[in-house]
Amino acid sequence: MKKIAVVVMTAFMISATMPALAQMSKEEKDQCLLASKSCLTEVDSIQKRIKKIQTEIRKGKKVYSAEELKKLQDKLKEAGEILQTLESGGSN
Amino acid sequence: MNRRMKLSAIAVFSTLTVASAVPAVALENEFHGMFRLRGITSNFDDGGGGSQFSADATKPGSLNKKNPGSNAFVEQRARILYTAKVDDELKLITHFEIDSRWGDNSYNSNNTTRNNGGAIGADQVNLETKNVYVDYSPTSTINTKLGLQFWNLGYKGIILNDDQAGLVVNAKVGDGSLGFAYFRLDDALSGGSFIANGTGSPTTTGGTGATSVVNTTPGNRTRDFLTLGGKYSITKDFKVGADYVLLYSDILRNSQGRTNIHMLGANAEYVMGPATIDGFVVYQTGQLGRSGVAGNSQRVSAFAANLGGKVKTGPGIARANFLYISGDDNPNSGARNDFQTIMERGATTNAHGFTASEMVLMLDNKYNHTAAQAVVKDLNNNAQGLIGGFLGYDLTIDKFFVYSNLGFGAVAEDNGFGPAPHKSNFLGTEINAEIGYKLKPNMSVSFVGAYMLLGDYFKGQAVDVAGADPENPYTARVMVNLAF
Repeated sequence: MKKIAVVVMTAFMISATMPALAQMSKEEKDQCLLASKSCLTEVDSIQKRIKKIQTEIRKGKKVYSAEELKKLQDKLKEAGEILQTLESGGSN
Repeated sequence: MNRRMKLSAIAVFSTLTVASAVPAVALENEFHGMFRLRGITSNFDDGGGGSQFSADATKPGSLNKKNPGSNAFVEQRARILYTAKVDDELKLITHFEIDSRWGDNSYNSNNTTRNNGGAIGADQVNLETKNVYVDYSPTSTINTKLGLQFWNLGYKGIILNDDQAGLVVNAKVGDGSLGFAYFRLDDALSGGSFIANGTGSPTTTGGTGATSVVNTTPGNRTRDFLTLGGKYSITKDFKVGADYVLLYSDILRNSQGRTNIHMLGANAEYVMGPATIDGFVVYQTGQLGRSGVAGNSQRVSAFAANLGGKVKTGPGIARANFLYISGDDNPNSGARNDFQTIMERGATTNAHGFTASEMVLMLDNKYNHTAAQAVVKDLNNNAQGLIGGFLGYDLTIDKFFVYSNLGFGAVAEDNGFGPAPHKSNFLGTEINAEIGYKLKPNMSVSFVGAYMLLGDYFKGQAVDVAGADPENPYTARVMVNLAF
């Protein structure tokens, strides 16, 4: 009995640590392959991230604590600095 | 193997399996970048850098020519920024750049690596490393940046606005913040070096610091930048700040005195409804190493000031900026009253700028690549300084945008720089506009046109036809911008 329990537990632990690779059903079209949309590994562009943070900041204290809002402000500043660094001119 | 051993083996196997399936650190990889292409036709831009005000009649596209001819070329720039993010508190940031002019070179055949590789065949070694640094926040109120990084002191970029190696520490304290930064600007073992402004003197060729570095031991002769400062919010809409800066150099102490320039700066920003007003004052005092003058150094007493503002007017935003950079009518005397600007290691590449002016021809522009000419490239302006007034209006309608600007410039002090006496301090008036369309949220195409009506400063200054007036400079550009 104990042996079975250990084996079952082992199998469970292994399965829990494996990433969920195929989440969509067979009927759904793979928009990631078709149009590079809704990919699991998609990363926001810097403009999209700025827009997202601004949207969250606008929700204000109804949703976020003062500390969280400050953190979002910092992230907005950081994203703005990334964009500035990318676009700033160089002498050469 | 008995039952206990079997169970132990299974337990060990389970542990190993779980351990190998969970990464040691949940590292987040983040890529950002930009691509910009500029097609340029101009009687001014020649694909290189530096000031186009030149006494050299053979220089193509030179500003002070009666018949400058015209250039037409296409250049491109790409930047890739990769951040390895361990968590919100710890990141490694790297930033790379690839520049070329279409058709310029391939296979390293001109023995030049960077800013090349646009010719048939390509295959050029041209990847430039701009930044490599660690961003670490030991507490929620302290942030540090250590390594080669882009940094801007503020003051709209006129002091330092460049990539350099050093340490930056910022700490939030109540309604304010304290900042410290140290950068080693120069510790070269050979080559030339420009301590402060690029030329410094209207009468000596090469000028300040234009002698060879003699530094056999790393760390022995250096150029360093250090600053301490703070910002404080008096109210939500009213912020003030103050900074101390030390620019030190003993790089050329084999031929001249040490440079010790102390700067004291104060700045403020006030928001009044739809309007924002900001400005600053920077005073410089200390010593500038200079060969060929008594004591091999000069006393510095100079200043810069700015007042700027923007306000929502009608469908767009109106902008205004005024800049004063002090000059010196006799920079060969014992005292220097011209504002000492920081250059890179060459006389044509500035480590500062004033892109808030939004000028395209008169001053360095934020969109400049390898082609980065300006009438006043170094704000020290050959020790003449600058008085500038700049007005602009930004209009965005759906996916269209129109940015228009008008600027006036004059030297603060006429010290006789150039081939002939000047009839006035007035450099000229620039008008420019950018009209564009956003193809996607992060991609746009635009047309930029700029024209400068040269002032009497340039009257009779043409170097190709004696006594003639140089042709007014123009540039027309088509630009594709992508940032992600």
